[in-house]
Amino acid sequence: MIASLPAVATAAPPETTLPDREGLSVKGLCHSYGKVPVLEAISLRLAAGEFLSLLGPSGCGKTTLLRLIAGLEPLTTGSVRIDGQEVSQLPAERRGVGMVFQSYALFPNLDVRGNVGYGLRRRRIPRAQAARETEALLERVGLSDFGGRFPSELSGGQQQRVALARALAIAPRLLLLDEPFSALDAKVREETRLWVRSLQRETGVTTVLVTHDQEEAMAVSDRIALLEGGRLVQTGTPDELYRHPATLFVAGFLGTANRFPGIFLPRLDAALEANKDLEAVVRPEDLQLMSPESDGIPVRLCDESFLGPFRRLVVRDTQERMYLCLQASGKPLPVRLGAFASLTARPGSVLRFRDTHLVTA
Amino acid sequence: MSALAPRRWILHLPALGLFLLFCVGTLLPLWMLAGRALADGDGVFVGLANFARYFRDPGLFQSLWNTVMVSGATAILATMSGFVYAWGITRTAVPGRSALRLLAMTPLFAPTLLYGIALIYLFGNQGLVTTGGFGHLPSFSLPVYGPAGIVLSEWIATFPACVLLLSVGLALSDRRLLEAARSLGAGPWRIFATVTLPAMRWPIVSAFLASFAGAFTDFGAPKVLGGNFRVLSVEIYKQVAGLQNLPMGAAISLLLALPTLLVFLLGRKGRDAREVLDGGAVAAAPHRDVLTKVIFTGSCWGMAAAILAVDLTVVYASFVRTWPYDLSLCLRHYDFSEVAGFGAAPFATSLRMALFTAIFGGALAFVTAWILERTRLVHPLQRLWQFLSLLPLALPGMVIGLAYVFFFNAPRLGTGIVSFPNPFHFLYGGMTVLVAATVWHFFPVALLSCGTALRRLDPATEDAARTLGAPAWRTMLDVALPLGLPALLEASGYLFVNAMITVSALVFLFSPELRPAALSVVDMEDAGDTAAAAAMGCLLLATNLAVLLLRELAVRLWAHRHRDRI
Repeated sequence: MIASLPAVATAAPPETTLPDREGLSVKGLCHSYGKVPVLEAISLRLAAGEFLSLLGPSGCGKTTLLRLIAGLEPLTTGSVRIDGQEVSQLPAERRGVGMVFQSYALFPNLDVRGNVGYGLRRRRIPRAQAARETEALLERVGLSDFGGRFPSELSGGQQQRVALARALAIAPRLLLLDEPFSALDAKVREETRLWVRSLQRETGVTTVLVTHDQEEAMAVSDRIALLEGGRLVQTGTPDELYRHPATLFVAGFLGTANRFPGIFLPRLDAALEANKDLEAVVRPEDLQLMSPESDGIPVRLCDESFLGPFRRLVVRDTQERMYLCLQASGKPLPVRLGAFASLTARPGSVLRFRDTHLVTA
Repeated sequence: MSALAPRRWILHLPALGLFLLFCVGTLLPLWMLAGRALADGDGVFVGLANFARYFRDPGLFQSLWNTVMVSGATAILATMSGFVYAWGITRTAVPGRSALRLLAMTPLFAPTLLYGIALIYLFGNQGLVTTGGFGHLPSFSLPVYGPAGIVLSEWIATFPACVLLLSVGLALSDRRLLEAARSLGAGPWRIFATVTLPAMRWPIVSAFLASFAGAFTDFGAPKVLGGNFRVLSVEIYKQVAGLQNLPMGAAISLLLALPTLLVFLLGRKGRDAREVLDGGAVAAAPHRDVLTKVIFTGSCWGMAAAILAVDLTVVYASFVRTWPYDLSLCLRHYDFSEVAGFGAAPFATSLRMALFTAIFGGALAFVTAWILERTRLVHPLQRLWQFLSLLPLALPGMVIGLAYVFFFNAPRLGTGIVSFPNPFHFLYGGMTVLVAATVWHFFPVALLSCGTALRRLDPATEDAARTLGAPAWRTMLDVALPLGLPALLEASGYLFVNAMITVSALVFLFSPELRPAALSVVDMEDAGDTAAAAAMGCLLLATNLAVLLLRELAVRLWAHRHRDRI
């Protein structure tokens, strides 16, 4: 499949610092369906060319936020600025936003060329120029030979590329992707999202991706905005969110979080004191399984699987609480399956939470 | 919505205008009709005096009783025969099921009075059956002028609706339940009584009510066959057209609306009940045992043959030179220049009116369905709008016709101080009023057909068009119209067919120059030119069948062009 995805110029290394120009700004946005609030006081700012993922469980309001930005839902409270221009009062067709839908929403009665050129026709671009631009886009998404096909004659991945080309055809100031990869099967999905990311870098269009897949969000985004129950919980780079999750929810949503009661703190990290008001979280790769004599939490090794570079270990403490542990596969196991061992964390890797919020310092 | 910028309000204006048109076109006339029913001939409010007089007059009151009896008999016969027929074409292996389906529908495409005329040719004094095939067979006589004839022709006219409603219900009843009952040891009769019938409760009720209301409000068949047997619709006609007693006509027309109003209200309730239906229901497999097959083949084909025989009789009669003396065939009855009425002009009028109805009514239904289903324009008014659009389901054609007479004929609108010249008065007697009344009368089905199709479209497709630069109205042209074209054609075809054959809504509205063909059938029959009346009726039937065939071809062509793209 990757062979059919056209190469995107990769000569220019990804910019490490984004320009300071604002690409998108959302301020104090609230929304409700009837009396049910779905979004509360959302504020976001994207630099031009930035790729941000709106991540959250289903029903957290992320798609609604995207539709509000696109102008497909009427905005009641707050403001939206795209590329420095206030658009809160503009209807969707005048916001210059390209959008890719989960169902792709291609026009079934138009062929690929008709779909890609639709936005150009609505903009009254001269016919010849529109045709040139359409062909150029088709080439860019690797569908030059498919211009006369109809959407139902294309595979899911091809339909998705038509949808992307159609959205890019209008030279959007902002690209919105609503779960665009969820209908693809696993292998195609992974390739496609990397390809979309490089295409986005190349075109430099400010992009917002809605997804519930944390792995996808971490793989492609400059920054992630995590939503929970209509509120923005934390916004930051994937690294920040993973290493410094603001709340237990963030810690659990991105990657695996092993949770320990506060009284286990000194056993995990000798530098810490026991505190039953706290809760500790340790990532699987930061947990270490030692021989039973050493100081740590006594656990039984229940399961072990080999993942190539890593071994995935499942251990249970005396209360039958389960923890997940990743160890470099080169390192021998300290005990045999079913035997007792001792569990500690790498020094400095323990995250502490008080009332579900991260304790800094 | 409160934060809408002033200029976005402009988008709501066309929709708001359309909504106002609905209010003016439906509520105002009904209001004026009700006002007339509660006033005397000079327009002075008299409360329920007209109704009181109606119920005191034994002759008038008799007409209510007669109508109820005739409609009740029709409903029982049509529902029972419709059930057998529907069972045959959905649950048994009767041969030629699709042909049976089609044959049962033919009465939908002809004016009801054509069946009245057909019955005269079959059972009248010189009828085919009465004379025993002109003396070849033992004769058999049936008092066709009077209740028996009316019931027979209403039975034929309402049979298609019953078959449709019941076969949809039967097709939806769940095979899994039937199999579960069978595996628990229930015999076929027990399954019928405990599983099938309870599940069919609503379809049976709605079929019964639909045929009851159809017979109750029909004007054509009783006009032709009624004789001295008085029924409500003919009574209204006499009061209004004959006696010029408009208040009494208005009062009786409100009585006429009672059963349809009941159907309307029960239909809404029934729809709520249907929503409980299990989406995973599996259609039942047809019975294949020989006895069932023989019984249902006999009864279904028997009924279809009866309908076909009636159709063919009237077609045959329209070609016979002088029934029953000279049975040679000729075309002279299709030359309408020498008979009562206005020659062939009414046919041209009907054709024009049906075309306008199909075009404007179809467009109106489509745009209304789009606004109601796909936009949030005039959002707070949408429920009211929906209700207004479906209201004609509760209104007999005669009520619609009378309401329009009162509305368009009034030189001034309003009362007392708030009175102004009626801006629509100049339309009275013109084509516009005929088309408007017909569109209004048949609007609900057209709207439902468009609405159902539009509801099935992925809303994201329109959203995509929006983000690509298409204003909302443009998405209607670019997305909803091409994808909803079959539904629009269906709605337009339905409007055309009914505009060709409707009598009841137009009987008060036409002018001498604009005389619809279905009405000229009444005139010719009245004047004794029965053969010409039959010919005109057959011409209408043939036109309708041709138009439906054309529509079918267009839809096939569309489907072929889009193969499996949609």
